[in-house]
Formats: sequence, structure tokens, C-alpha cells
Amino acid sequence: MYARSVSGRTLSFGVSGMLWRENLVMYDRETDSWWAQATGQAIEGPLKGTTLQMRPSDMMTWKEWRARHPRTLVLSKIESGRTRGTSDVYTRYHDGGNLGVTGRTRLNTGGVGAKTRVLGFRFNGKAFAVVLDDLASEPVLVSAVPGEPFVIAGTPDGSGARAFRAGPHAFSVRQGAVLVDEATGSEWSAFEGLAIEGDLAGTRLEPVPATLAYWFAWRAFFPDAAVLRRTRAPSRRDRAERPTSDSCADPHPTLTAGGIHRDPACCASWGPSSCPPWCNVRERRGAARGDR
Amino acid sequence: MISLVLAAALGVAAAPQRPWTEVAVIDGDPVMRGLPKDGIPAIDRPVFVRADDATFMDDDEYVIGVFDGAIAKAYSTWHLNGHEIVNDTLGSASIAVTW
Repeated sequence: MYARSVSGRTLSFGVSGMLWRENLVMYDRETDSWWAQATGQAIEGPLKGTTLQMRPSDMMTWKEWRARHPRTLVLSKIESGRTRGTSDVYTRYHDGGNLGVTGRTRLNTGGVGAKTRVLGFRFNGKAFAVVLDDLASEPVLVSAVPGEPFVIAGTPDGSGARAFRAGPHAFSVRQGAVLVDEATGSEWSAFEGLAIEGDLAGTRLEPVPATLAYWFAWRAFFPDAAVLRRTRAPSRRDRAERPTSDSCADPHPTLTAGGIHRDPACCASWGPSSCPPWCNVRERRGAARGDR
Repeated sequence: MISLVLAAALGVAAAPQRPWTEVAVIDGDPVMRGLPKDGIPAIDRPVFVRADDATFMDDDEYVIGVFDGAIAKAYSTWHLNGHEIVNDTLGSASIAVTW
């Protein structure tokens, strides 16, 4: 999610049909510069070197989003305008073990399963990633990055997550998704980044724009990305070894219920014991932003 | 080369349906073209409906959501698979929803 304004000019973007580092290359109709979707940076053309301002957005299930925003608007699916071409070139990608569609992806994935889904964000020139599955059993992670602590909070259904700067606060997790800051003992909703009880009630944490991505795709852009994990003993779930490809046998029989079924390759990429909700698919496959 | 060998080992033999053509190299990595420009049509005039009227949405359908303190908008990722980009506004801000 980016602001379209650059130096006082509003750009509009189209799909170039190209990928770079297995990620969507956008073009702007005003200057025909090429933009890397993952970073918002122009990589070619008159605006090369310019970076779009990223703005906070969420990714989660419709049920979770609607519960939080009952008056939300939602994009209609009635097609308007052009319907040229097809995106079939992508649709099989999420079915398989492919890392990207062009066969050029670097497979240096740093010990985390390549198709593990992470919440990726950048701050002060550094890139970070949190393994979404780490938030499944305990939804809040207070990172111990020296000098810049973050609060990472997952949705109750594990479908999405948010990142905030902890700022001056030293937080401990009280229960579930409630944080307490040491200085005042105020209670905070981690997912809202908002103090809800105590002296600081009403105070907000600064959100950090973040994106859900496959680990290999995030790492292709940010090879030095630090993976933030809990510092105490990991849960059994965290320790479970996850395969980096779909070459192993599918332990998850395809489930059909109400037209929804599980994508077996997606399940397999998450290891033998769990199949996250985003592996449920109906019309189209996949739930990784721009990462093909 | 190494990635190609490993890719084959991972069963990537499932070749893309269209050929990918290298059109440029930027910072050491190839820019690969697989579709013509606008082969996937971005949405330029998005139409929205209220949540209560959105009978086409499933509970477990993933959305990208954005909220500016007053207006909340959601974009189905299943729908965005066929468009990739929505050129939109949120209040007075111009935004690009990308997928």
C-alpha cells in the first residue's frame, strides 16, 4: 500500500507484465518508470531512485476485518473497464513448490522455510521479518532489538499481523494480546497499538508499515533481514521443522467444505502439524502480496 | 545456474505456461517479462459496496484493509489476483493498493 503522490504529482500505476526478483514490476503512466512493488522504489526510467511512501495497511480475513470495521466499504467484484489478457501465468505457482515463476530465484533462505509466511517491515534502513506462525499460539511478540523494540501482534485467527514501534515503553505481555508497560502499569491492546486502561489510556503506538510475504521473496529484496523470534524457550510448534519444498508427501488431505478446500502445497510448506487458514482457497490460489 | 539446478530438484519442472524473457538486468538481477504491458488490467475506477451488501465475500477470504481513522476499505486478494493494482483514493489521499 503506497501513497501515489510523488513530489507534488499524482501517479497512476499499471502492471508492466514483468517481474524482478520474482516480484511485480509496476509502471507509472505518467513517466513510464518501472517500480519494484516490494520496495516502492523506481528501478528504471525518469523517476529511478524515487521511493513511494508506504502507508500502513492490514491483511487478514474478511471476517476479522469486518468485525473491526463494521462500516467498511469493500471493492466490488463487478468488473469494470478492460478485461484484456489473463493472469493464468501465475495461477499454478501457488499450487507447487516453485520459488517464483521465472526459475531465477536465489534459494538462499537463511534457515527459515522458503515459503514460510512472514510479516516483513523496514525501519531505519534495516529489514525485519516475523514468522507468522510464531504468533499462532501467543499472538504478541515484543522484540528485543537493541535500541528499537517493536511490538508485533497477530489477529486472533492467525490470518494477519501488525507491527508497532514500542517507543519509550518497556512492555510485558500480561495475557493474550494485552500488554502492560512497566512505567505506569497501563494496559494496552497490542493489536490496536492503543493504551486502553490506566494513566496512558488513549495513547497510541506508532504503526510500522508492514507486508505479508513469503520469506524467500522478502529475503530476495532484503538479504540481511533479521528474523525476530521469541527469546524464551520456543513452543513445540516453533521447533517443528518445516520443509522448504513441497517435495515431501502431503500430510493434509484435501478438505472440502462449502466450496473451500485446502491447498495441499500450501499446507505442506507449513510442516506436518498445522495448516494455516490462508491455505483455504476457493477461486484463486495464494495469499502472498505480489510475491510470485 | 545453481538456482536452476536446485529448482529442477525441487520439481519446478512444471514449466510456466508462457515463456519468460529477460529484458533487462538491474542490480545484477534479471527483469523477466511474462506478459504484455497491461496484460493484467489494473483497476482505475474502483467501485465499492457496503459490508452488509457484500454477499460475494466469504468469511475466510483474505483482504487488504486500509483505515484512515474515518473510512475503512477492503480489497479481496482473490479478486486482486486478476488485477494486481488498484489506483484509489482514501479521503484526500491518493493510494495504490498493490498485490
